[in-house]
Amino acid sequence: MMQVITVASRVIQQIVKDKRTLALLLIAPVFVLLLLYTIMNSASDSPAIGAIDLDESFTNALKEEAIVNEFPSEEKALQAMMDQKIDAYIYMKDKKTYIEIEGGNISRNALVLKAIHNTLANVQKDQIESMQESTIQLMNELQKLLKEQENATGKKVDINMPETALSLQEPSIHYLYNNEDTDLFDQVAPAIMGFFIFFFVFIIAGISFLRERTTGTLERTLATPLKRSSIVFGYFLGFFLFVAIQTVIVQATIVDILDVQRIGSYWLLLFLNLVIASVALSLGLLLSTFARTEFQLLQFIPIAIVPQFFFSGIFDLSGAATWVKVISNLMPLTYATDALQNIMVRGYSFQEVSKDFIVLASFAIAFILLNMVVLKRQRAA
Amino acid sequence: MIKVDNFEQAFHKKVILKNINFEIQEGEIVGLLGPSGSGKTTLIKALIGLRKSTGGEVSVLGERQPSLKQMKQIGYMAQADALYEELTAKANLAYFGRLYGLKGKRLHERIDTCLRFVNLDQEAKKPVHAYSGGMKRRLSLAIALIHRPKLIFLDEPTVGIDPALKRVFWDEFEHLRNEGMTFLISTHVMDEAERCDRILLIRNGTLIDGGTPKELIQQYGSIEQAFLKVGE
Repeated sequence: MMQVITVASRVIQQIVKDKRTLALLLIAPVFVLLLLYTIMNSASDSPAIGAIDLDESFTNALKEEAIVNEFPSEEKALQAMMDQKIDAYIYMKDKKTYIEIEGGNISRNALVLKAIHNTLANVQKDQIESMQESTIQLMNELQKLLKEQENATGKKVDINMPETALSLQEPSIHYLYNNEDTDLFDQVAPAIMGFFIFFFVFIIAGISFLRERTTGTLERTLATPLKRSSIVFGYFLGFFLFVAIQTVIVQATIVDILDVQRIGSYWLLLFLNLVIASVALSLGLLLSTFARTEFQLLQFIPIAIVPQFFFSGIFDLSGAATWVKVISNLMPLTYATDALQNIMVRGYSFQEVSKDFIVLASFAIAFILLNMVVLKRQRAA
Repeated sequence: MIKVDNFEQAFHKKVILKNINFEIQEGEIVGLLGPSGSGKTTLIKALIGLRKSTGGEVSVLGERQPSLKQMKQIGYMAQADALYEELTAKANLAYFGRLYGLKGKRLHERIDTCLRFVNLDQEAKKPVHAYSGGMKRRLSLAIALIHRPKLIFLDEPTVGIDPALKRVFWDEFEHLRNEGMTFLISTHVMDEAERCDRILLIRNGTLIDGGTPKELIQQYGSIEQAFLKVGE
């Protein structure tokens, strides 16, 4: 135990003296997260739509959903669209509506279609309502007329009146989790948080341990009575201090500053993030054994880190092929993201996410044990 | 102190060292003399227990290697300075001292003694990256001595240092030898070999001859001649 503390305190001293590493651990994740948040929220949500000689009621309804620019001719509108000043334009020909969409950006396309769809729905609703009103008026007058006739002739005419109360009420929508204000950043925030903690810890732990090997200090350290397990645990403990601080900062950024909703317990979330960091730490230490230079360690990123991002549940894999699901199940981040989303979005308790915790802890323990074995290459005893 | 019996070391089926037999007694400075690539470092690593031999037997201080039991009594200075550059000389010494089980007052006494011994006590609080090459070598030696080992392995300790410092090093080695410390020092420099009590000549992974400098000079004319002739 003394040896573990000796190694850990030396690792801590080194990081404290190395300001850049310290900054990468503590400041970089906050910077990246704030940037991501800003980018994800910077798209305007109303499209710019050109209108050419449209019905006034339609134009007014469209103005509720989009920024409307009126054009005297189709040519002018087309030119504006080609200059990317508007996303689409609408014109009427032979009582038929035509819509031209710029099409270069799929998210803008979706916005245009949604705006037009909503406008048409509103216009139709208005039309139906006015028709209904006139029908009721018509029937009232008809009834009045019949009454007058009945009084004059004494003969009763009985006709069946049609049902006039059309149900035009919108359905009431209720979300079990989240609500209609949940945006893209809220949706991906749990996964992004797990990924960043994993990525930064992996890189820094991996490179530090690799440097021990390339500078010879690892071998020198192993030429003492130090046990192989002590160096692994010492590293783990030393880094864990910074990883814990980093985790608190990342979590505070996402939950407290960016105000991403979090239903589950703050402390459970912190505990989960620390377990995720432990997996990254042990994987970084392990993979550094198989690299000779920093460059070689970075070559592990496309193999060990990027696929985890794709498969971890950030993208919907519900229709994926079996082999994709098998790969996904072999990746620690899959369990990390699952648990993060369940805690933050669905408010699950520890018991409900305990399976993910067990899998993640098993990954960490397996990586640590493997690390002790591969260190035999550095020292036989 | 050291007994090597028919030792063989192979990497990926390629034999690097073979048929190595020698003994080292307490209180002698033994030089391991051979050209670069002859296997000096590999042999030293096997003696420390960093590598497991693929044949034969190596015992150090009565324990068969590899083993952790006798590590406390072994000092080691690697060919490259294995120092933590961000840390001060004092922090480096404290780290390795603690790994050898030193603590408290005793640790600080040893740190001060070793720093004075290699004449670094004035720069003890500077970070190592501010050190010159010679200062780093001296600190490496201080680290090898921090726990007062009985037996010390020095892998080319004077590479890249000036002749004046080299002389200081050798005076220190002899001083410590007179206190009972045993040395195995690898080198490829002839003038250093003359200051050893005994020389082992290594070439192409095998020990080719051995003896006191006097014996070798008598037999071959000079150590350089011995080295060249026996290797042919």
